Amino acid sequence: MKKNLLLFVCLFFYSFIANSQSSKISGSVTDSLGSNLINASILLLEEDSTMIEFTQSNVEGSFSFTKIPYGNYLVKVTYVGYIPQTIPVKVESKETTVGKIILNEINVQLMEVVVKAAKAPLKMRGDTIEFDVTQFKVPQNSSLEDLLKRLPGMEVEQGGALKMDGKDVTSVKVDGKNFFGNNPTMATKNLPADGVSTVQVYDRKSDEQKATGNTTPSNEKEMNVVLKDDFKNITFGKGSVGLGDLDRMEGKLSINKFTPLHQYSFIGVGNNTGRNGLGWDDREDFFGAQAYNFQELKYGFNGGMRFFSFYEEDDINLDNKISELFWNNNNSGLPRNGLAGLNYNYEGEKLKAGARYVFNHKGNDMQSFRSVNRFLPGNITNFDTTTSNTITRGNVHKIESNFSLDIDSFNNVKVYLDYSNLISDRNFDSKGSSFRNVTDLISTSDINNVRDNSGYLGRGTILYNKTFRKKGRFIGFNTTYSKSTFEENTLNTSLLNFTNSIDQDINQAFNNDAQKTQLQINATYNEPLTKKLFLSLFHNYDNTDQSGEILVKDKEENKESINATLTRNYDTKVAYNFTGTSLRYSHAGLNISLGTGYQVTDLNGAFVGLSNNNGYVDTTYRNLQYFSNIFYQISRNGSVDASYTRGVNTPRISQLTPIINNANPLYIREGNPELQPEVNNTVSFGIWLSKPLSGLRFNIWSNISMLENAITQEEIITESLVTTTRPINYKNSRNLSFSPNVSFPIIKNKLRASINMQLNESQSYRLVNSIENKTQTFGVGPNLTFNITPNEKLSLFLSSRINQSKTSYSINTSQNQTIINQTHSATLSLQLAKGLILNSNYTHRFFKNDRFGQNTNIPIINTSISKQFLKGNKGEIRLAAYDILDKNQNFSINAGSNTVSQSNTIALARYFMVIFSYNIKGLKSGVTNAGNQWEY
Amino acid sequence: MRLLLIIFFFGSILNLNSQETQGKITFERKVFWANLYSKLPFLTQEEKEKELAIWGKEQGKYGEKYDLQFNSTQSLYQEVKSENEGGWSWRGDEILIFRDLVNKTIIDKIPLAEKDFLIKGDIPRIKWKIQNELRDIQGYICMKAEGIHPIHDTPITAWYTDKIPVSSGPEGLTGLPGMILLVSYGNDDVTIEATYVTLEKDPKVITLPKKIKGKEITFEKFKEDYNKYIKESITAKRNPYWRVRL
Repeated sequence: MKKNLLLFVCLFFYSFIANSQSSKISGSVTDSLGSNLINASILLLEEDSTMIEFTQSNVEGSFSFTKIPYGNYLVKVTYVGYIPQTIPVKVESKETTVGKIILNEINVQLMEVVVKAAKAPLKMRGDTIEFDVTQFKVPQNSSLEDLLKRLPGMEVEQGGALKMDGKDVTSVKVDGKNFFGNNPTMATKNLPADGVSTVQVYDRKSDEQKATGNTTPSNEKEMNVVLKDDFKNITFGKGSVGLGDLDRMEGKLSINKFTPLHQYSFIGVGNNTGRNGLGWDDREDFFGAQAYNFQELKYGFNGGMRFFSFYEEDDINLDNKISELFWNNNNSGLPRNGLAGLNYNYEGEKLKAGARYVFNHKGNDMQSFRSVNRFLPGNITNFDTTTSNTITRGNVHKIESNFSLDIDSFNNVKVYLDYSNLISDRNFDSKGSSFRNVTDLISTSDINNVRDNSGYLGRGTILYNKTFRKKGRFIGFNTTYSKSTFEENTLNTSLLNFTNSIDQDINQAFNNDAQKTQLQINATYNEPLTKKLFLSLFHNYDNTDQSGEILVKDKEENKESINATLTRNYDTKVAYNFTGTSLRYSHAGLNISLGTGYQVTDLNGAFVGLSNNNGYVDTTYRNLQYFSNIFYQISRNGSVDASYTRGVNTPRISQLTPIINNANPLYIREGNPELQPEVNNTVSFGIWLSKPLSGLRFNIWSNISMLENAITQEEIITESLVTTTRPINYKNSRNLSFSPNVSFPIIKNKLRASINMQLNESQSYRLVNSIENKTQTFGVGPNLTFNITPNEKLSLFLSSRINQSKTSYSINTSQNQTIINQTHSATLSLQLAKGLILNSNYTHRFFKNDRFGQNTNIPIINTSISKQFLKGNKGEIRLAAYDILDKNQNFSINAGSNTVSQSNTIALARYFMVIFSYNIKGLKSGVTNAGNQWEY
Repeated sequence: MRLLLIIFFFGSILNLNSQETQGKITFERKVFWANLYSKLPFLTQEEKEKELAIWGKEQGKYGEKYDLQFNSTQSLYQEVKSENEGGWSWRGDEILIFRDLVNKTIIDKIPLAEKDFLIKGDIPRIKWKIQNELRDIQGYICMKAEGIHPIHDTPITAWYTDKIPVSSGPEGLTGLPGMILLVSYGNDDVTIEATYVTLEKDPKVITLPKKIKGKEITFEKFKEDYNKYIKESITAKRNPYWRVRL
């Protein structure tokens, strides 16, 4: 220690003495003609060109640096338009002079063309100049040779030989490497100009020159062509295959090739485990740069945000059926999934286009048990139990394409086209019993329903957006036309046995042939009135025309006859016009919007049957809607948001049609032509706060919605428990929800807790045999999670969620009940010795309803152990055990208006699987944090 | 017309060596998200390459504007508050970087995640290495220099012009024989480029706001906190640059 101190002191004094030996460096600068250069920059650099000091030459062109410690330096002189000079200087006496430094002018052509015009950097090595070329404009599909012809000082001879400043270019390298031997024309004729980022031409130095550092100018030049980074293509892909007992298997394959202009993707998935395992990452892989290309077509009060509820036709939901197929889960019951997709994107500067084809197969074998309790006036209950077996199979083919063209920086046109085709079938078998007051058997049913669907949907959309030099001014216009057909054939065989009435034996064939055409036109105009005030006008138009024939045949042995009550033709038209305007004030994080709109809905329908069971609808609804919103960003870490809207929900045509639908003899539906729109008032409020430094996150969301003149049901239930329902407007219903959430670290980066609370209150009415039933629900749902990540090798995620809901019925208070659902889970990821990783999840669900003595709990344990192998962790083998305790089932309890239902579906239980995965770029390694990633 | 050109030509020659040392430079700051993101150490090779392949072309299309007011002794760098473009007003970071080039002191207001800090002290020294490359930026021939960023230690490339002999630049980067007109961090992860240069003949007075809000901190402590936050985020496998500017 003492020795060190002594050494330090010695060194200190030594350096002090060394520093005290300082000197003055002086010199002067002239051009090649001997004129003084004034205001030239003189830099004093260390030998590694680190700058120490700088000065400027004076009127005589001279300069000096003082108090320079002895040592080796570089003096560098720069002056606009001249080649910088660097002179090594050794300072070892009090006065050092570098003498007269002569600067040579840079070739004017090079300076003007390369530096000024092309804005390309010019590089100097001693006295020779290399130039990097980035922005020489050449026509598309030009070769590198065409580009070289434009470079100053470069000559391209017949046959492709190159000369630079009169000297032969004898070597061409690409990215510093030899390109197909030493023939320079190989590279220049074959490389595309737009793939090249820079061209460097410099003296070719012999190996001897390189070794000795000899800088005498050479007679040969070398050219280096640097390719653009993004010119390089990437290919990636991954696949996995899993085989298990009980004939379980799953497979997944994706291959992608992305170049700067073209993106190609393939995806294929097949399994009978219900786990497609497709997440947002896979979506991005498949769609490439089109992955987030969402387009809201309808314009609204808040710039494209649709807030008002628009009726959805339930007659043909082919659109929904198709769109749900790609990403929807299919994991209850015994599922099977198959998916294949091809995608191509063109990513040009102005034109972007894409086309894709997706095929999807879904199937499910589902065995369910369902029981429903209905409360009727006078302390009567109706208890239905059903055991059903459903087998479904469906195939969808979808082709879609999209184009987006930037005509210029203000005008953009987009076109979307898609065509889908669906074929599906379903076989439904059920056996049910209906009781009065639990024990009194009223009827039994045995239903078999075989249905097949097929249909297609074709759709085209054109969008035009125009922006202006004046910021905030915007015109948007779009129109969509779609056409679909749908055919459904159903064979219904039902046997209904009534204890106190005549049995019914139904054997019917339904054929529904439907067409739908829809035209939508939406337009908006936005104008900034001042820098803080914006006006928006918009109009949405929608015309939907649906028609079809429902042919019902009653079947008896070897005999078919047309059912005159149920067979009919229908033709409905819904024309919807909405004109709205809104005004927004925006300044310093405060955004206030106020809007109003006028909505006209024309409903027209004709239902013509064979008998007199005809129905006509001809109604027009006119309504005003209101909208207001305040969004205030208090700071960049927090904001508050509050809004109020008043809109309407118009009745659907099927609710208005005065036709009795008795296809299901136990449940008869009737329309109500007197039905009025319900008025929807919504108030919502939110707070958001995030402090990344301390790791605190906090937010509150709340929503209150009230339906005035709510559309609800009137039920008439006979002695034999046959229900007839009719939609009516009755009183107001409401729904309140409030949810505060907080998340904070207990030990930074190691232990994080989050607490979430969901509170709900709702109130609705229904008429049962002319007696009002008011249903009130109050729900509390606390949720607590801990994310524990003590080190790189362990991640543990604990979660507890309790949901208690109390439901009360005015019609029968003895049926008031409390349902408590709980889910507790623990997810562990642990790195074991020898690169083995253990992933395990334990989830325990509890369902409790004291009113029915219901107390079910389902514990599920999934565990897997995996090991990565192959270079770069490209391969992985995983041994997985699902549902080790063999307890899996899909269970749910729900309390509705005057019903409590419970369902239980047999699900895939215990099985084991070996899964092999391969990723050509390497798999993710290490433990997975379930707190960030829910799936494993 | 030709006469006009000749006059203009001679005028520009006469002007060649006159040096003006006050004015305003507007810079455009672009963050290349895909470049930044693709370098995060917790990503797999596939994720890194994918990020660049899919989003590489989409980045760097929009930039924030900053003004650098300067005279021969002082400079002040501040964001140009753009009025709400799509009719929405958001709150961004408020940045103020003041350099006293004579006393070599700084007054910086810089946010770090949710907090605003006020850094006072000496100008952090950057070891510049002068390179042999020239290029034109807004009509100024600039020379290349390389260094290390004083806060986040990222390699930086600066292009300065001795035509404006004021030793300042954007983002508080100083110490070169002239004004920095372009600087890039890392491998073009962030670029700050002059888009408009106005030189003024009359002496220019630079005034600081009377009150600058922010928690006072030394440069060294700020640097420590900054790098600690980045390190913690990367350990937790989060992209730190969502909440902290590079």
